[in-house]
Amino acid sequence: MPLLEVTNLKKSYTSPEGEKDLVIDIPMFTVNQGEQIALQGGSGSGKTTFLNLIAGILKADDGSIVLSGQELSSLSEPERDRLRADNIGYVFQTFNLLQGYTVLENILVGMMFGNGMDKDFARFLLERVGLKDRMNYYPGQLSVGQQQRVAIARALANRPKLVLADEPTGNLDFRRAHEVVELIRRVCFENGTALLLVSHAQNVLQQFDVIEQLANINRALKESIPPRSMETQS
Amino acid sequence: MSYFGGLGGFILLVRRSLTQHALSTLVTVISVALASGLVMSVFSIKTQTYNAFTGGPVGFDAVLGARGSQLQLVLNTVFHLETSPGNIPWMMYQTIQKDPNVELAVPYAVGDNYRGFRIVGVTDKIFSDFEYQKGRRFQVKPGGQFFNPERREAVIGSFVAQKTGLDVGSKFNPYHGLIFDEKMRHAEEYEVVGVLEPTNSPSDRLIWVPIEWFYRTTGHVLRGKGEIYEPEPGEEIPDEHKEVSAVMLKLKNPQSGFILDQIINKQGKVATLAWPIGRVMAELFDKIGWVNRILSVVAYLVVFIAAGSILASIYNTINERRREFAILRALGARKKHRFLYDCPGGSLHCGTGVGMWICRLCGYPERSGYRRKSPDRCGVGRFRVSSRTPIDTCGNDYSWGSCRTNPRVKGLFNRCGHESRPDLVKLLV
Repeated sequence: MPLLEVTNLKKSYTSPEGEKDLVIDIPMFTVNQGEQIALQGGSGSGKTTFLNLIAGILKADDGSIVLSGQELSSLSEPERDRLRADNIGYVFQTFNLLQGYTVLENILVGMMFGNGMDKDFARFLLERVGLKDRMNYYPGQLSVGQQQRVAIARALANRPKLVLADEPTGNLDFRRAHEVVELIRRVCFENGTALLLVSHAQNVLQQFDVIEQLANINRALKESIPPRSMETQS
Repeated sequence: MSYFGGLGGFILLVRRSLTQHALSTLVTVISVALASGLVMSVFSIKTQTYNAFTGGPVGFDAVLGARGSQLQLVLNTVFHLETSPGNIPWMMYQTIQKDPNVELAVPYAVGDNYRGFRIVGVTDKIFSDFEYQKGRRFQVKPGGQFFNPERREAVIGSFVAQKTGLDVGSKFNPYHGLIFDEKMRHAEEYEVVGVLEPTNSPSDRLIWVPIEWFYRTTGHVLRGKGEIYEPEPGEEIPDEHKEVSAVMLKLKNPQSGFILDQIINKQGKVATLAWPIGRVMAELFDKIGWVNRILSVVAYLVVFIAAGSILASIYNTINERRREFAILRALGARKKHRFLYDCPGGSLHCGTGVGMWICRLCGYPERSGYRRKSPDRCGVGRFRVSSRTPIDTCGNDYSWGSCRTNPRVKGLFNRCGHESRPDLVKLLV
């Protein structure tokens, strides 16, 4: 049984003119336990929306998302929040670290809503991402690459089954991007965590064995004429 | 799952929330504290001033003095403020004290001070017959006694003793005039023979001396007959030369006041009877009613500004924290966590509370034990502060329950942790 199973997922937004704009129409998508998948898609292709649907931050219009054997649409909002806290780690392009908290506290905050704070594990994670000596620094005192490493450690704080990474290298240079992706992959592998990373950068995608084209799985992109996302795709 | 992963998590969030927004929290707390303190003070001072001057017994029903303003007479004689409107002959005192309408008459001579505290020449009736409150006469503290009219002695009020350090056995020289001026020192020396127990009245800030010795102070001249008379040492002063600043009167009944008012004020031309004292003072407040109105307007403006600053503060804080909480939501925080995480209301409550406490510390709480200890008649008293003021109600109205149910607040509340899902996404990416 796959860790994540998406079936006939649909999501649309209402445009300022009042028209329904279908952005996600995915008939089938699966992620297995421990699997690492790169999802390629350009700007506006709906990749962030797709991740937010999987995380339960957004609610689908139609279709089914089964995560860890639980159907998201059957859950109430608090239950989805709980499921997210226990099963999903999220790495954002803009890191989204809490600026008023130290590096260690950012990891602990990540644990608060899951299985509870575990300082030893937080320290272990920071050691794994090479920030053992920066635990008491504030995000603003770190380089961009270091901040992203904190975000990676935080995403793994609750020992999630699935890590969603949304353009995690968008703010990094080529060398740092390569290092960060390697780090995410390695840490996820060591923890047996599945990884779904979306990006439009070729250098990032090349580091993965399994690369899915969002354009291939999202029928909303195929039906739009001309497909906006394909025009801007890098 | 416990809230915030247990107490440690909650403490971490609260600590960081406070330190991260320390300045804005502090400014809000201080501004609300000052606003609430100011409003309470304004309302309280207004009320207390009025009550202090017009309410409650002062021990006398009327004051007889020189022809002129009744208000000045009362302020000078009863509250020991203002200057004396002039003197009246001693004979007038003798006449009024024999009047069947008068129960008690005490002559009052004023014109000297000791370090700003008035020295009042009186007869010993002030201690033997006068009741400053029903059934309560002046009492001296242990070790002291009332003055002997035959000697140059003084009895001082408790507040005078506290402020000047004078005590039984101390000697002091009076200073001429009602305002302290070191150059105006009289050569004569008075000995303190008693310190009065606190009375919570203006008498606490007086120095009582025998009126006879007041006349005999160097530089004091008497014009009881119209011509200047300076008593020689050892010489008995003829009554016709004596004069007094006023005579404090206790009347036999209310009708006595009407009769004396008719005789002295309406038919007479040489003296003024200030009666009843409460009405005279109430007229003062009627005359200065515009001051009260201005004070009220100022107070309401302060309430309005404080309320505005509270709303602005809430709005700013919510906006600042929306993104933070959106991150927490992505990490698994639920909507209900927002209540404990985002505590601007708590801060404001805290601010209001601090304001009240500052106010209570600055003033004297109406319902506390200080009331009994604090002089509560004007002239001495620090004003008590009521905790029942509009800001109090205003502060308490800002509660979680009212936020959730008040439709006006609901819109604001909806911005706080109840962002729609697309909004949440916008905040995160």
